[in-house]
Amino acid sequence: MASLITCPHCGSRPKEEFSIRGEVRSRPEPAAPFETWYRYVYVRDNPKGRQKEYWHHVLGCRRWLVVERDTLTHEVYGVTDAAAYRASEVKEAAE
Amino acid sequence: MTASRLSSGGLVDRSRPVSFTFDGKSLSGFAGDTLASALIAEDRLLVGRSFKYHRPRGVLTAGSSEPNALLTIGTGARSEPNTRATVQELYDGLVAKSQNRWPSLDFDIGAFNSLLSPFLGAGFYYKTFMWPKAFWEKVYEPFIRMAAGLGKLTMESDPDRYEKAWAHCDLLVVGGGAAGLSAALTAGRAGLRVILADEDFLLGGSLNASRAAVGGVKAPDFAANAVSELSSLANVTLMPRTTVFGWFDDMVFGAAEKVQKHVAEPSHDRPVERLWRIVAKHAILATGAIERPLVFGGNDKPGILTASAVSTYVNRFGVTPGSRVAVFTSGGTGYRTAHDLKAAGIEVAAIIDTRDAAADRAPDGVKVHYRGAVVDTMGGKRLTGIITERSGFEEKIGCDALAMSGGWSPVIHLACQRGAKPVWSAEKQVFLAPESDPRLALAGAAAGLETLGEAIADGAAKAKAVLSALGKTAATADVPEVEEQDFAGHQPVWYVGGARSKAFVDYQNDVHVKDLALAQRENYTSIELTKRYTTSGMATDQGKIANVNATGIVASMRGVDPAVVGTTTFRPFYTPVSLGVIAGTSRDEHGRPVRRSPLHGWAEKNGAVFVEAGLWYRSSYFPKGEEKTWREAAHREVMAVRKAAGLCDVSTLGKIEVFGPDAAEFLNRLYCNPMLKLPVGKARYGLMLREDAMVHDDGTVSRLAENHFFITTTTAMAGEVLSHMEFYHQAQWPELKVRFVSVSDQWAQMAIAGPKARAILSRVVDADLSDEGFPYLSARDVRLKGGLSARLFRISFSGELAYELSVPAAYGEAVADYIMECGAEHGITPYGLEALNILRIEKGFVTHAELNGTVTADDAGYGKMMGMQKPDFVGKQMATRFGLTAADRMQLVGLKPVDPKNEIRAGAHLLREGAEPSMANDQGLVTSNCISPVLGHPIALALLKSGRERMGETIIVFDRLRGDEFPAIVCPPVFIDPENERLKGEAQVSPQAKEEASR
Amino acid sequence: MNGPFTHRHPLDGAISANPGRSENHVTVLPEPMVLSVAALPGEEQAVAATLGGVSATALKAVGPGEWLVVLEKADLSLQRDIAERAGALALVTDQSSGRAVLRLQGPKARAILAKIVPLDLHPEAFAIGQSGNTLFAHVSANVGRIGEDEFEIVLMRSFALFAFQELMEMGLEFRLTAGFAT
Repeated sequence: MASLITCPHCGSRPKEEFSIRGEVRSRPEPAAPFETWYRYVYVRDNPKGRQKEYWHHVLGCRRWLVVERDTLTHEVYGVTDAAAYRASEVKEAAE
Repeated sequence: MTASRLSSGGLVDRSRPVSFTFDGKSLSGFAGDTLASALIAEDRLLVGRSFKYHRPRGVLTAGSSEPNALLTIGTGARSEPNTRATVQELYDGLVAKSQNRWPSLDFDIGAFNSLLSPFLGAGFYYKTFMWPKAFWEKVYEPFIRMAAGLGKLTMESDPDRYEKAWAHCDLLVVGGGAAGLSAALTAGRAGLRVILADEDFLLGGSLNASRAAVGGVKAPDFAANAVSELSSLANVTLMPRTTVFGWFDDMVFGAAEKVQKHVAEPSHDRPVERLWRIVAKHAILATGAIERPLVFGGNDKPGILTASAVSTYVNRFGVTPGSRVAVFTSGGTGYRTAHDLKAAGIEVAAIIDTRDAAADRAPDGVKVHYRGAVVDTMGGKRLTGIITERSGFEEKIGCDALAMSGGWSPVIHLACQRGAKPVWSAEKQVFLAPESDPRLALAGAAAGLETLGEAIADGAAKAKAVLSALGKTAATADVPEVEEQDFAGHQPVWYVGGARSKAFVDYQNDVHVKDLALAQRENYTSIELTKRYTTSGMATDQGKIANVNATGIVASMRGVDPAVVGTTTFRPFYTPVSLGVIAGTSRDEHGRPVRRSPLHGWAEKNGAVFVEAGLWYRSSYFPKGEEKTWREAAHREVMAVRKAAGLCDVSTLGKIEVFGPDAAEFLNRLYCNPMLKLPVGKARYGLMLREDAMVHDDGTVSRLAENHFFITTTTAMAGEVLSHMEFYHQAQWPELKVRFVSVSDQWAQMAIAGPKARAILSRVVDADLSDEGFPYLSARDVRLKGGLSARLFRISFSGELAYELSVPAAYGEAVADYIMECGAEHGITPYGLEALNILRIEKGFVTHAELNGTVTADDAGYGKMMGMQKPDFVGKQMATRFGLTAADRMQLVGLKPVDPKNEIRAGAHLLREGAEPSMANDQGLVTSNCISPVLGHPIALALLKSGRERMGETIIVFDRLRGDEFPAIVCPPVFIDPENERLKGEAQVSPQAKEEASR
Repeated sequence: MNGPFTHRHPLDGAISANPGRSENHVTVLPEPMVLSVAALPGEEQAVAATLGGVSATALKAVGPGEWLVVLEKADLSLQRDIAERAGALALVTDQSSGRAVLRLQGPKARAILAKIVPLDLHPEAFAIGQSGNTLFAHVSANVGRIGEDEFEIVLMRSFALFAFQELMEMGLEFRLTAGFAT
């Protein structure tokens, strides 16, 4: 029928407004070893349980979101804008 | 007459008679009847034949759990099989037909199955139709299919409309009985946004079948008063005739509303059914309980009903299923029914009570048989009596109806649909809902409570809990007093021993106790396996009547507690939901959106034949005069472009504006070819890769200003490319100062191609279009004569001198008309997708037929374009990996047949001469093909292993599907003008055009 | 300055010339002005400040730092003003041709929209001036509340006819009528 995702910009919206890209992966540095790139491009963990995923609010604000949810129960733990997520990740890496 | 309408009583409107037909016979009832109550009033207890044994069956219940009274309602395209008569609201002109009988309900040939019943036990099909294997498809299955099944579908298209809608509320109350009304009143009075949904057309639930006094008035009046107060509250929405069938993630509930299922001719302005997606902050399930039948020998004769159903028919509908009714019960419910019958003046033959003794008081003059058991029943198509046994003594009791009660099972289905398992209550001997979500509560009988008073108090209490969770307070408690005789609970008797004939557990699938026993003996002991082996609980009623009894019986057989056996899995839908309402409006032209180009009107005027391309309607070709095939028209259009000029609608291309100080850097990372140094005013072909180095899309990149770009994508990938850009900007490189928006719908875009294109456009565009003034790959904002802002690009997808002109979409049609007018003297011709495709194949330009997701830039012949010296771009890292640079990669080539009569067709595979056709010998495949109007013979583009090294080789084009197998020559993929001389068009602009352009 | 070229609305021909008007009505703007304003990252607040002159109901929320300015007809001075003040910090594009603007008004406006959009449009949940991009029939549209019982729907031009027909179909039971604004 439906399930809902709370977009940080638009509020609660049905999943039909989103498209899902799968597990969150930050792109390696260009100079990263081939093995790192290989894992980034081809390998997914596909956990049964908690996972961070990219969801695109394609029929709404067109922002990419990071949705942390349980792949088994669909319990959603949190939704953040992907740009903010990436920025905080870069900041953490620098610290 | 045995079953009949009582002279008074009930909630039906006796001033409004309603006529209907059953199996062709005209009958009548009253407004407020269900089809079942009206049939009972007409003494029609036999309403169907059972699924397997074709046994005569009658109405068993008065609600949605009904397993027997399944009828086909309506005629022609509106006929709907397997409708439960017990919930079908009666209406004038209703046409009902019984099912699963031939030639008639009274005389049914299929009943001979009953004689074969010793051979038709559980697992019969699995064991019997095993051998010979070939018989399965040809003999057994068609035979079984013909014999099995209930109602038949009409093969006509459904003439009615269906809709879907969303609703939002603080509190959803499912069920409008005592607990539900009480919960809705408490929450509604406190101002919550409340939705109250109930499957019945009359709200009130069991209150409408009760003779109790509630708050000093009769129970049905209490319900009516509550409904009237609720409808006066603006914050409360009442949804009768609405079944909440599922509880989904994030507190979304699915509900099906029967909007016009109670009229003979639905109005076309409204749907017949509506699917609701109800988003609730909290929900209270006040779904009541289903009465369990007792499982005893011969328990399926017409005239045997559950006790609560008998009470409902007598009290709510003013009808009785018999004139002398016996009661068989394991608890107090049967006594209440006995009192209801007595109060209506109906004779109660006896009460057979399975208990040793009971505090329940029988009506005066009615004999109670304690420790009693019904072991068999008498009668054929109608109950005539029962045989009871007590301490070895047998007694026959004459009766024309039997009210039976084996206790109650709370309706917990919705609460168990999301994976949580029901919990067995040893105290109450019922399965209760698990606690799985604090936002979902059960109230009243659904929570295992037994009396009206408890239900009303519980509904109010659960609503108060919701109020406090939402930070609101309830008005002071106002729970009405209930005056009702007390009846004791039930001592479950899962199976009444000593049965002398079949004791049915699942009426609809004809599963009896011995079937369950067989399943245990053959080791299908898990309840999920028992279910599948015997089909118990697998009918359209989903075991509402059968499942708890089946669990109890299996537990007894295995000598364990019902908690050990557990239940089968609960899934949506609670009751059957029509496919029509699930589709909603999404059928026919509403099934998917249609996209129209701003030049649609222009194309129509020019006689276009349209083709669906994704959601778009695009012009395929423009037939003229005697032309009979697309090819004739397309070849004329191609030759017009090669010799004079053509106009093609390319508005469907994706168009994106990219802006910001980092715009160039962003595009440089997105495209595999360099973009940083693209000069202002210039366009460049661009190739986007995926991170795995396969080509994602191609298009053009134009630099309008230092920080301002305009890019195009292919039609098919427009949405994908925008998402791809958003992903890289937002999720990977948010530090880049760039912003982009789609302007696809803002601009009408047309290609003007051919040697006369410049001469024609010079009359339209206010700019110098000479090779010096507007060289190949120019891209600029321009104005049309008269002042309209436009964008002009000198790019070509045909190999000819060509331009693409963008104008605001609202003016697209007028501008296209004007260009056609200006080009008439030059022979301008509209051309469509087919001609476009031929033009590009002749020039070896690729589309997604070639860029199919397995093709790298190098495979497509664009390897040298990749800016490998750039520090980074999407796809760079994988582009050099082993496998993508292998020598035997399939590469783009051209093909010409050795015999020009052989047309090479896309999809064909390529083989070496003399090689066996096999996967191992596969050399590649044909991706695009046409007959070249310029060359006069078939040509094709193909992907061929090591193709660029194999020029001149003869290869076999092989297509077993279409029977093709012939030789072709491998050649470069560019068939005409490899030097690109034609891009320049006519050597010089005509003096006239030059003069006009300079004005 | 559009020269000799006539303007075409995507709903031309789909609305009868003399449609009548029931209490639930769709008013189609024949030549609205629609500007898209998308702020560069980090410039969202500065750009928002430049849009102060646009009324709350004319300024549509699209996403973070992204708006549509929707007016009944072209206002060249406002357009110039926005381009001048926000032009360096935001991508300002004219989408007047690329969008169709419909105003749905009437006591049953919410009941009709409930069949098309998933938003909670209850007066307390969706205030006047509130707006957002959302699923509309099968496509994306911007839906905003511009009056007590009045909603403005901004559709992509290519989908406008389809979406309009869906809207009218859902309004059948409430006798929904439609006409161009005069």
